[in-house]
Amino acid sequence: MTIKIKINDQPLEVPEGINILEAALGNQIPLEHFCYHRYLPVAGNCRTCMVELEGPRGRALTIACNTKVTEGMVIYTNSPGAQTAQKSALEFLLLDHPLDCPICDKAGECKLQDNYMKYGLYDSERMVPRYFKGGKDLSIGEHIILDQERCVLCTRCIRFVDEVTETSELGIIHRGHESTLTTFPGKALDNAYSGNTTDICPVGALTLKEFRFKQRVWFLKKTESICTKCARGCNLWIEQNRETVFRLMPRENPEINRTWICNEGRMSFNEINDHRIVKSQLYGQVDDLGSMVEKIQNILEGVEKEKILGIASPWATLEDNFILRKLFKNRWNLDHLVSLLPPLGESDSILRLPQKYPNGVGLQVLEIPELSKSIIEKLNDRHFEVLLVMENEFWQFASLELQQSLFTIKHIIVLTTHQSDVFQKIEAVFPVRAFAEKYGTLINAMGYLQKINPAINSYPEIVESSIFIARLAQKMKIPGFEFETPVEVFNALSQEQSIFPKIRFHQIPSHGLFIPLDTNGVAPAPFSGHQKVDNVFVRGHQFK
Amino acid sequence: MRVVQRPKPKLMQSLYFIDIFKGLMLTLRHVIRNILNPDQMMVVYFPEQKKELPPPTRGRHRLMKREDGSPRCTACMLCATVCPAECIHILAGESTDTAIEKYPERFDIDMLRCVYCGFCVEACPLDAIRMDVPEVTVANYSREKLVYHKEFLLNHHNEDYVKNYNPPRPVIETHGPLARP
Repeated sequence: MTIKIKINDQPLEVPEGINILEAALGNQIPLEHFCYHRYLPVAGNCRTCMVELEGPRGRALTIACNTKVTEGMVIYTNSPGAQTAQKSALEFLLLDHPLDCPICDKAGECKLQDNYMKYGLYDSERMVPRYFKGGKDLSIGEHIILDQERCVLCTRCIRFVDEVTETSELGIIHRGHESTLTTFPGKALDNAYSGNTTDICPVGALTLKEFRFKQRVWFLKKTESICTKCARGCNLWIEQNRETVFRLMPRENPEINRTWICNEGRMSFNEINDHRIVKSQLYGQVDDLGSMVEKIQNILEGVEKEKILGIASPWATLEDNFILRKLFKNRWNLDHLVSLLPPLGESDSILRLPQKYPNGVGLQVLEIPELSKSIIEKLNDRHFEVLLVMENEFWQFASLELQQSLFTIKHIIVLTTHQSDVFQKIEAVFPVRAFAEKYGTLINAMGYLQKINPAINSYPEIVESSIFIARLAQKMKIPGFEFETPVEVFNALSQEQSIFPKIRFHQIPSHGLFIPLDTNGVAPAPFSGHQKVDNVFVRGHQFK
Repeated sequence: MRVVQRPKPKLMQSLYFIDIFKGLMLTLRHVIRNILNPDQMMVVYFPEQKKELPPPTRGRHRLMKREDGSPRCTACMLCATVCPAECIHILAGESTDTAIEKYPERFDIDMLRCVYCGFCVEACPLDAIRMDVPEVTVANYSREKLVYHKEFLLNHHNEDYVKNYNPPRPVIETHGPLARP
């Protein structure tokens, strides 16, 4: 159902039930706002989204975020009355706000800065000395630092901990100009989603300890990607400068993560930078790549068809697993390609899922089974001579028994991204690109096919797992592995696998493509038991 | 088109001697004058002698200090942002003093990249960096030594020398940390 309204004499057709603010922003009409957030209940306490409505008794001021559009509504956002109201509301917010933008981490993406430059530009008319609220640099949680002086009391963070995480740690105490944001006595802002409060804070009142003072935001370059810490596959921005990832920010996706991510995913940016391996290693010692590849090639060409075991990975992309499967199918026994999954972890009804890997459904789609009893029996009989492991750090989670029997295999070849102590036991370790450095696709537990993009190119000399295996297969003179990039691999994969709608890599939308799967692959929906979001209307407008 | 013949030089002109002599007379006059009055010679025996540079000279950078001797810089990175040569590298650190909060752990200026544009001085909101050390010999034997670090920029200049040319400017009314009661 659409209804007809007029904003600034511009006739528009908008869906019924949305508010004026969404109607304006969705039609590229700028309107100042602070406290309104699309995925939080409306509070209407900043009063900056003032508009004028044409009524029977002339024009009247009202806030746009808490007024639903009705048929024939006539709205003015840029009339002199509305503009004066918006400007005055902003002036009140800025009255006691400290001008410490040079040391504030929010500077550059601060709504107060942006709105002053866009809608304010007034001279200060303060006649009395400034009121110093104090309360700077307060640690209120494991990851969060609160600056009470900078807070503009928009209550976005309070609504977030009340409505989304339902933990209610934050509140406002005192009255008037002494109103202060604080945590309740004995409570710390330590829920699993606390990092989101720093994103939705329109000013620098809540900042993340892990990002604090690390980098000014205007230096950061953004790349669309997907979180790899659980099977939910939350949408992310990878933000980097000079090949170092400084933070991961949630990217809006109404179907999957709205605008939230969990702390575990947010803090995983350190893993991209730290403890990477860059050089190929022979029993823990750095060795020349060319000679090692030759050696491995000889081993793989010499081994009997039945005596090679492959371990695919739920952390690897669809392309990587596809290439490994293709190699086993064409050359060796496909029954001996299995996957090893870690034990289930923490979960909740908001976003986090117990499967702590991003591409478990991808393994199901490619029909790669879990490690079965028959394979374990063969392992115990010392049947295998070669073990090929792709991006699966089984030494971190597999049982000691299983690890021991795996390490008894004569030749072990591992493709991996991060350094480990066990490399001394492993014959050949080859470095491959991590998820922030490559193109690839993942299928999340809800059945969304999503793509990751390279944000950094720190190690141009190393390649993706899929390309490494494809080149190895080319050297072994196996036909059908003429791939140069993972994008080509995906295009071949979508042609071969009947489950995909034969699309090409660049046609996958940035919000993911829903693939109908059988029910055992589908996880519970996010935000179960939460308020339904019915006002999702605009996609182009990004909230901070 | 009219062809003009090159005029033939006269005898006196073609001999050159008179003109050469005229030129040498000027040189000779200076030689004699310098020998008689060596004090007025217009030569500076660099590097033993150094010329006094005029006050508005744009020299190399220095970092300003607060009254307690800590750097005034708050690592806001505005200078690093505006620098067209990308020669300023700052690593911000967290200060234990909540009134300061943020301070530069490292502040490096790569003098080999610097183009002396002075944008960093203009951009600084706290007057923490100035380009007024009257040094014209920014030279060294290795590239590494020409990356000036925080300690060097804070201390390695003659305070009197700088003061003579730059009388202290009136304190800029700052907001934020410095304006705190």
